[in-house]
Amino acid sequence: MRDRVGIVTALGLLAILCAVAPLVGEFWSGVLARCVSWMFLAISFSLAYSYANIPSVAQATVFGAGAYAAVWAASLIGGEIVLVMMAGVAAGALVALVFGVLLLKMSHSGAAIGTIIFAVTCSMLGNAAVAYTGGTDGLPMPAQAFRLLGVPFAIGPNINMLLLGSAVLAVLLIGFWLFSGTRTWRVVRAVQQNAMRAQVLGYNAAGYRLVVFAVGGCVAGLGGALYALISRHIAIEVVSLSMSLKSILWAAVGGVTSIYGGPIGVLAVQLASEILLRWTVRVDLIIGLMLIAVALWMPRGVMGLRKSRRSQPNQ
Amino acid sequence: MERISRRNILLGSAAAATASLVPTVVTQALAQGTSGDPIVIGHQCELTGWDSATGFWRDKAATGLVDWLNANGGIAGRPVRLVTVDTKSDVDTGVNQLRHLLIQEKVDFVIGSEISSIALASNTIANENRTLYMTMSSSEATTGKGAAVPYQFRMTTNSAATAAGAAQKYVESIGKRWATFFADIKWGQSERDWWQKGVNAAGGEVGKAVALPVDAPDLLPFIAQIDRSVDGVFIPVLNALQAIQLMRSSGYAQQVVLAGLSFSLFDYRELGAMGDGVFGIETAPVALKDTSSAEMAEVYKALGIDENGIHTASGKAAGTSMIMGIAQSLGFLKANVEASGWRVRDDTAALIKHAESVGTYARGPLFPLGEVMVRPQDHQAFMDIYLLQIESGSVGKYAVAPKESTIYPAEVDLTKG
Repeated sequence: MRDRVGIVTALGLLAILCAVAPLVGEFWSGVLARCVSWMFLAISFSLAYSYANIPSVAQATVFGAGAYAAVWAASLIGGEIVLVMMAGVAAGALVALVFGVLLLKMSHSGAAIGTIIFAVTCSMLGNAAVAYTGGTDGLPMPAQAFRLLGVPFAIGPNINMLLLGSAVLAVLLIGFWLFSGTRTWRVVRAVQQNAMRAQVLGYNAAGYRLVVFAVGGCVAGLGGALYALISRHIAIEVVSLSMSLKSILWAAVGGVTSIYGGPIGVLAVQLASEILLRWTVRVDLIIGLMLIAVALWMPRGVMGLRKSRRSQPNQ
Repeated sequence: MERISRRNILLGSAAAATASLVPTVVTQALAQGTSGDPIVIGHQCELTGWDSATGFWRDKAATGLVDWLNANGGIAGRPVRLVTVDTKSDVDTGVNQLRHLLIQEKVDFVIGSEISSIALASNTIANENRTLYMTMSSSEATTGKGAAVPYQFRMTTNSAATAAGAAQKYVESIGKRWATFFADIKWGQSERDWWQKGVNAAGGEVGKAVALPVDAPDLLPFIAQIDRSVDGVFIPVLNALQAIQLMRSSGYAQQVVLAGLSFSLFDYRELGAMGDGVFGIETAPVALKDTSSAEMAEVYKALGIDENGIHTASGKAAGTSMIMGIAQSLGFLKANVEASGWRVRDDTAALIKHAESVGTYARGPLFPLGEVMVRPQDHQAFMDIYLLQIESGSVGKYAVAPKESTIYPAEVDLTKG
């Protein structure tokens, strides 16, 4: 079933971000551009958790693979942004496929532990492979001219990248919305709700879950590539477990069962952090309290609020 | 007769309040001997997160020394305003906070992060913004090939300089056979490589170098790999305190040398009896008895540190290398702003040109331990290195490696434009 309110809310949010960017200045445009790149990560977690039924604590690893692939691709094939983003998508898909094949052999709780092990292992490998990742010091995006479909394009934390990221995300969300009305999507939902029953009905449940997880990987990898183009410097922290935990928090605040919730969660948490950082160094403590409040009073996140309200008359 | 209205009373009160403020402001400015628009210095500092132990000292030093500057004529007669932001010891936050300083706060100069990943990501941004970035990172890569930028200077030492200066002394006094136990990150690898070069140059040899993965939950399996037959072990790891405790409790009696600036990472007194004999490499001694510098005593006084190097308010042992880095960065800014006639940010290119022509900075209030040389090619400073040793629960001076012995070849030449 297509979530009309969800898609309108998410697209409206992106439109507002793009509209306010020229008014809020260079610094905040950069902050918003980074937020948009993280929205891909939050969405990828929702896809993995709610649709592939894999509680992945390693989505930042996939996001980081996309980011590193973008930097390597820019060094090897030049500054065409579309190719750089495609490299991120490919890297995300590849890492997610490898993870997915292994995780599908595990139980639900075993997969959660498995993803933690993957995340930590990849972080350690990334730290050790200094020649390729730059280790903790990181890798800069090559200083070269970048182009979007042949047209010169300024990368960095700027309004250009905010508009590009928002446009790509809008296309992705619309694509998902259209796809969510198809029969294939109904099978995905059926597999997610009861994989054994779907299997008995003749559907390859594991295959569907793997494909959805890989699609989540593509989304994370694309976000990683955008993040690399915006930040212009990637350090190994980007694949850390704490980054994955952030993606879970964003998805939880926005509403983990809806892919339209991720963007809302990213904005709520990151803008609150950014504003609080101007006043106190205890930002994480305040954000933590905020998340406890969300867990207590909005267990289904912001997107879950409308469902609660809708279901209230029936209670 | 004019009526006394509520508006008149309010206006009168406002005027009186404003008038009462003016003499205060003027008196304050005159007392401090400063006037004009403040020079704004941004400080990208690790107030929280894993590197907050060293950030504590940089924050204390920057705040205390800017207050001291303002009480002693400011810079070029202008007051100095310090804007400190927290990087949370995280690259993403650190870079974003730098952008906040540059774009929102419109700072004139930045004293940068100590974390090499933040520093490397930040110096490019500061360079694009044409704002001078005084890096506090001690990773030699920050001023090396591919990372050095014209708008960056480093007024503290680095891994290459400390290894070059200290290795000779330690090979002479401890022995020729060494092992290295290093953090498997770029900083640790850089320390390992430069230590090996230094030891080899001094006629010694470094055997097995044991890599400690950055996320290793238990150090013991890695410590067990250290060769027990060596004379000394060089340790560039972030959790040096735990490493020494485990080495001693595992029966390693070798002499231990901590890599540059490690005594700012933890309070040496936490080692207790296990700390006896441990060496460190710093840019300043801890106790005032180890220096005859009246200027250092003045810095300690300004920061509330007693003669034994203990911060009175917190009870912590001073991270002197951090304090020196901040003092010398402020000293560099003061000297070059005043000598180059810098007035606004557009003058920074001229300030840099001038700074490249200044070979040395004489001992003074902000260069309290003596002359500091700045190499124009890569904008790296060289200063005497203090080799410290813990004995009977206190840390004292073991030897001093003169600045000339710390010089290593420059990888870039920024003077060529």
